[in-house]
Amino acid sequence: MRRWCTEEPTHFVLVGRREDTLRAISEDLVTRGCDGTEASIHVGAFRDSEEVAATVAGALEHGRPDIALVAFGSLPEQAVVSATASALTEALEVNGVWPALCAQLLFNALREEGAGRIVLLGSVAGDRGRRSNYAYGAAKSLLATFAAGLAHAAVGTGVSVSLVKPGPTDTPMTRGAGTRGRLAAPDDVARTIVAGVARKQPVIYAPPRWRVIMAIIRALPGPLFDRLDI
Amino acid sequence: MSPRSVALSGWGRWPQVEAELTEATTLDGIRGLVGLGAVSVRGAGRSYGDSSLGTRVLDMAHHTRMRSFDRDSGVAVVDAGATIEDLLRVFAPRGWLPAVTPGTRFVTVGGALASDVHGKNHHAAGSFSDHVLWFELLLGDGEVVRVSRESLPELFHATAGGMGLTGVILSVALQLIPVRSGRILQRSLKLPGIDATVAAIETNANWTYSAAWIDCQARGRSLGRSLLLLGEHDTDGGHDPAVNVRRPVAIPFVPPSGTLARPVVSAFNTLYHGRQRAVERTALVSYTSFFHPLDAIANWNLLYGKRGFLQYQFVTPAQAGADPLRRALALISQAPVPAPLAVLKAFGEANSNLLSFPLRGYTLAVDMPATAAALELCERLDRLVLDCGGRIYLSKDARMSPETFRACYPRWQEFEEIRARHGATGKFSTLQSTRLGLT
Repeated sequence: MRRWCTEEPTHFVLVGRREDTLRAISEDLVTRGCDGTEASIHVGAFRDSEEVAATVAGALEHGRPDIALVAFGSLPEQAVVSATASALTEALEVNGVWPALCAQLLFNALREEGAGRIVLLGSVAGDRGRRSNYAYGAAKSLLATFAAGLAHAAVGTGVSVSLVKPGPTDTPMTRGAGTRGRLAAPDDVARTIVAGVARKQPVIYAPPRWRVIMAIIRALPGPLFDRLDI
Repeated sequence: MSPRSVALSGWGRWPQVEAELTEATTLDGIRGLVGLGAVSVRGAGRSYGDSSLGTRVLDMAHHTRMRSFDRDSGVAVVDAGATIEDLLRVFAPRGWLPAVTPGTRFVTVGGALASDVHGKNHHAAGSFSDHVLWFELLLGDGEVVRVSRESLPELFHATAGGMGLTGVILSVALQLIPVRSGRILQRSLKLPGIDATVAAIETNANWTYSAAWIDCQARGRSLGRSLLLLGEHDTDGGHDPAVNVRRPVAIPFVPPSGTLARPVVSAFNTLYHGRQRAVERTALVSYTSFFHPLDAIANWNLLYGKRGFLQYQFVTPAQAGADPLRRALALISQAPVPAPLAVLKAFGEANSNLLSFPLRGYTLAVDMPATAAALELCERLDRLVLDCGGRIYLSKDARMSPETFRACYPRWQEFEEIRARHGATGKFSTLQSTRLGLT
């Protein structure tokens, strides 16, 4: 988000569960942003459809956004969600159902305006189910199909819908989750996302090389894929 | 949040240890970790030796949020993990710069305060903590206090330069300086030996920025030949951010340990010194190339190969004159150690911090590969430094003895008493503090 505000004055509306975190992020944006950067915060919950609806409605009271970024979720440990029904349900809801509902409600609001961009945070993990994190991957693939459908529905409305698929990125969510391999720098990922959103690209891989990597992984024949430890 | 087992080292890549590295993203997370017992606080890991190492390490580098900036006064409040580079990116385009910057822009603000780093303007502007208005510190019992010279003077002067041994620095309020341009007017003088170098440093003391690159391999009459770089902020020229912040290139592999062997280094030094033909040259250069030339290569510390390197930095008091420098350079040039360039600069007055390094005099910093011969050279340099009443920089150190430390920093007992009063004893420790006999 920091990327947007260094270019031109931007008004951010930050929505989330924890007021202290939102406040810290808003201070950071205003301090780093160019003159005229503003940030307001809206505390809300995302645990059921009523809460999500109330949260989105409350956020929209701050004004109709030009760009709405739906980016929340948590990376669960597959072993835990495989063994615990409630954890599996929560993983699917937090990463898939509630973001999809947010997107729909935002779309309904923006369609009336006839303008705006909705950006959903998916993941390369949604491109093919893998034994190491298929709960998270399935939720993200729900979002991918949802975003594609929403983009289809948005044709001619003036609203655009983009899905971002970041590869493993160096963030608090991935650190400590035992992620292997090299993590992408958040700044590079952010740069790719901002450029993709500006171009209204429907699917944004960040960094872009993941488009190629995932195309190969999707194309791998079953017997070969089964032998991979990923 | 959960700890990771990693191989950790400082910038010198020597020593390397196995550590449990925990990145606590919240205040409660930090409290929880501190509650477990002895913890070592680490920022960007840019101190050279073992001052950011321990068995249980708290990684503060990701606390990079900025809290506020007053456009009129130039006071910025940032979280401890924000780096000098972050400050340059955000504030340089608006005409504000950090008042003191060390030789790299990749250090964190918290680390800069804990090491009380200095820059090329120490003789004019003092060290990093002299521009810190206050900071937030998490103490051993989990309490967070706001520390200023007025509110908690003893904690301020123990923490600034205190190597992270008094608590966890959470955020820092910094007074930035206004500039009209992001560029530096640089004057470089080619000097034939140590006496000429010291004389030129003194006659040019009116320049805001001043440091000499010394060819440590030159002997005899060329002993201490140097390029003295002087700098002043340009008075116009705008604040193009691209001038200041370039993306560094990286060395993609670890070269063999002998890459910087003595003949290679000698040849490089001769070329470096000889590159400037004229005795004097003036140019407009970017902020980055003046202050952070080595940052252009992201991981230049790999040049010393797998075994790593150490940097030895000492200061000798002004009243001892240039003589200790001459003897130190003679020791360095005669040792079987490929020491490349060294940096010499004059320090201004010391501040009131208990463990801050600078005192009025001359400081010399020299890199050497971590070999037995280099360690022996360091021992000899220790004696020379102590004999003339000088001291050795903790942020570069990986090897000094407790006796040397106590002789360098005579207020160490006071430091220990303040730590005890504020619940830091046994809570905050590093490989370095243990080696130096601090509790």
